[in-house]
Amino acid sequence: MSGILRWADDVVAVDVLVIGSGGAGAEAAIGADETGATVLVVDRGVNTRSGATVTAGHTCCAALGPGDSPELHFEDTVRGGHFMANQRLVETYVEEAPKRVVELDEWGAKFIKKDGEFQLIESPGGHSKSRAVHVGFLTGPAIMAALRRELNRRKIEKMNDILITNLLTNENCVVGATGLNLLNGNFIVFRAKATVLATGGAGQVYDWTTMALECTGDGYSLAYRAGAELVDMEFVQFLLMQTDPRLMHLNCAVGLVLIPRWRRRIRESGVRLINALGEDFIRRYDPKRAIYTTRDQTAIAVQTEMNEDRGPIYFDLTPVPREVLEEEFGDTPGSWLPDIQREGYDLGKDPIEVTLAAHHFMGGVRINERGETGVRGLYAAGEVAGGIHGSNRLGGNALTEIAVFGRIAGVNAARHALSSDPIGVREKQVRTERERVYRYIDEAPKKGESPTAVRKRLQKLMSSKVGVIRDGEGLKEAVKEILGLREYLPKVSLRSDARSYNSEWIEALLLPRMLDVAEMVARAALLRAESRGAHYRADYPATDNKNWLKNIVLKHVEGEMRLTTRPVVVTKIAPEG
Amino acid sequence: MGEKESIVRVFRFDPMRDEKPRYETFRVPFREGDRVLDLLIYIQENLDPSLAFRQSCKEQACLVCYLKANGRLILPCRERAEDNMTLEPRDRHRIVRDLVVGFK
Repeated sequence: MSGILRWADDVVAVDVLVIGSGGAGAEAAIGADETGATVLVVDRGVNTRSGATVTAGHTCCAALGPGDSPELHFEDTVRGGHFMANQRLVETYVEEAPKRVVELDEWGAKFIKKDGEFQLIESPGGHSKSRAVHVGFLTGPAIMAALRRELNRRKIEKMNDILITNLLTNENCVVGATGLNLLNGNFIVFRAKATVLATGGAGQVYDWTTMALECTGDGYSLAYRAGAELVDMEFVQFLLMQTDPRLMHLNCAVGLVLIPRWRRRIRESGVRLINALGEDFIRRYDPKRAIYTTRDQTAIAVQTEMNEDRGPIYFDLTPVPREVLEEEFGDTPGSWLPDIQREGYDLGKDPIEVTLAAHHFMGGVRINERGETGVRGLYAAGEVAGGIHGSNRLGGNALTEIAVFGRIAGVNAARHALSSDPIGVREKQVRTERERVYRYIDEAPKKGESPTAVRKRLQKLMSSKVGVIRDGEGLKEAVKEILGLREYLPKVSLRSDARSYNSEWIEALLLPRMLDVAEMVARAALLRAESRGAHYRADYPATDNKNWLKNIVLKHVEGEMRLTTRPVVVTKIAPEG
Repeated sequence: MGEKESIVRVFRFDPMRDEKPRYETFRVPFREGDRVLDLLIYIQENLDPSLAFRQSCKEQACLVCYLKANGRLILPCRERAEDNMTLEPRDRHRIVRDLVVGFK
C-alpha cells in the first residue's frame, strides 16, 4: 500500500469521487455534499461544460401540471419504452422528478413561466400530457448554469482535464480510480470510499452523433471491467441531424428543434420529410402520424429510404411561410433562426439535408433505485446507467432523470462512505495501470495506423452494421470485426510523445473502451431476436412479447463478455396480450 | 473537404519543452460553410496530430473552444473558416500547449 507513491505522481483521498460533471455528476456531488461527505468531481474536459447536458436542447419533463400525475408519467414512460424499463426505477423517477425541477428553478435555471406558473409544453414522442418545463432551446445550458452556481456555493472541489483510466478494486469493492492529468501527463491515484460514474453515453462510437466529444462510453467500460453488470445495451436512439456545414453549429440537432409537435401553425403549414425523389415518404410507414411519429419509427423509415437508394433525406420547411417561423421562433431563447439567416440559408427555398445521428443510449450500468451497481462502492447515474427508459426514451425524460438519479446516487454513495472503513489500494494494480497508460507514449511505434484511423473504422462499422436497421448476419460480422480491431490496439502508433494534452494519446486510451461498448451493443443486438423500440432487426421485424419480455444483461466473466437474460422488473403494468 | 484552401498560421508552444512560442503555417482544404474548428480538426487528423486545441460540443453550448482568430476572440465552432487565418490562444488564461488554455 505505502508503495503506491512509487507509481503515482499524486494521491488524492476523498469520501466520494464523482467521475463526470454533467447534470448527473453535478447532482451527485451536491447529494454527497449535503449528506456530509467530502467529495471531488473530476472531468475529462472542463467541469460542468463537457458532456451532453449542456447541449440538451429543449424539454425537461415532470408531472407538475393540472390533471397530470406521477402515475400518468409512469405509464407514458413504461409504454414509450415498450415495457422494457425497470418499473421500480421508473416509479422512483416520476416521484422525484417534480422536486428536482422545482429545485433547479430555485437554483436559477429560470424555466419560462406564465402568470407565475411553469409554462408546460408538449414534449415529443409519447407523453399524454404537456409536462415539459423549458428555457426555449437553452434548457440544458440553463440547468448546467444553475448546477454550476450550486456547486460553487457549496465550494465543492473539482478537477478539470482528468482522464480516469481505470477503477481501482480491492476485496471486491471499488476503492477509487487512477487518472491521467491531461495537462501535464501526471498519473494520479484517487482513493475514495465510494465512486459515482456519471460519464454519459457513447454516441461517439457512431460516425454521426448529437453527443459531445466526451461521450465515448467511458463509464460503461470502466464499470464492466470492474465487474458490474450492464443492461439494455442494444437500445440506441437515433435522431435526425443536419449535415450541411453551414448548419452544423446550430445549438441543436434539427430532429430536436424542427419537429415541434406543439407548434400547431408549423404543423398545419405542411412541414415534411422528403426523400431524394421529393416523396413525402414517411406516410408510407406511419400514415396516421406521418412526420409526428415516434423517434424510433422515424429512424427506421429514414434508414430504409437511405438503404434503398432514395436518399439523401431532407427536412422540408419550404412550405412554412417565413412570417410563421418568425412569429413562432423569433423570440424563443436560443432560437436557431438568426444563425440560419446569418449563414444566408433560405429555409423558404432550401430543404435541410439530414442524416441519423446517435442521440441517446437507453442501456447502461445496471442500477437499483439507490443508484447502487451491485459492486460495493460503485454507483452510477445519468446516461451511463440503464433501465429507466426501456427500449426507447421519450423526449424530455433525460434531463429530469439524470437529476433524479444523480442526486440519489450521490446521497447513497456518501452514506456508504461515511459508514465504511477505508480499504487500501493494491500497489500491483496501480503499477500495472501506470505501465499500461505510459506504454502508449514510451513504446508505441512511430509508424503505423493512428488511433484516430482505427476509431474512424470502428465508427463506420457501427453505423453500417449496428446502427438503426440490423440483421443477424451483419451483427455477426460486426462482432467479428470489432474483435479484429482489438488486435490493432498494440500496433497503433503515436506520432507525438508530448505529455500535455496529447490528443493521440487520449484517443489511444479511449479506443479499448470504445471497443468494449461496441461489442456490448453488437452482441446484445444479435441476441435479441425481435424488434422493439429503437432496436430493429430486419430479420425479426415483429415485437415478440412471448419470448422477449426480458432484459439482456452483460457481464465480464473470466475474460469473456457473458450475456444472460432476466425478466423485466414489473411493479404495475404489463403489456396487453 | 475540398473546394477552397485556407492558409492557417497556428500558435505552437509546449511550455514543458519549448524555449519560446513559434508559429506554424498549414494549407488546409475546406468546403464552403466549414468552421474554424473544422480546419483545426483537419490539421490534427491529416497534417500534424500533435496540434493541441480544445473542443467538446461543436454547437456553441460548452464554450470551451474559445480562441483568437486574426486577433479577435471567437468560438471556432461558430466562426466560418476564411482564406487566411492566424489562430492563437485566448488572452488572460495560462497556456497549457498550443491553443489549449487552463480553466480554473
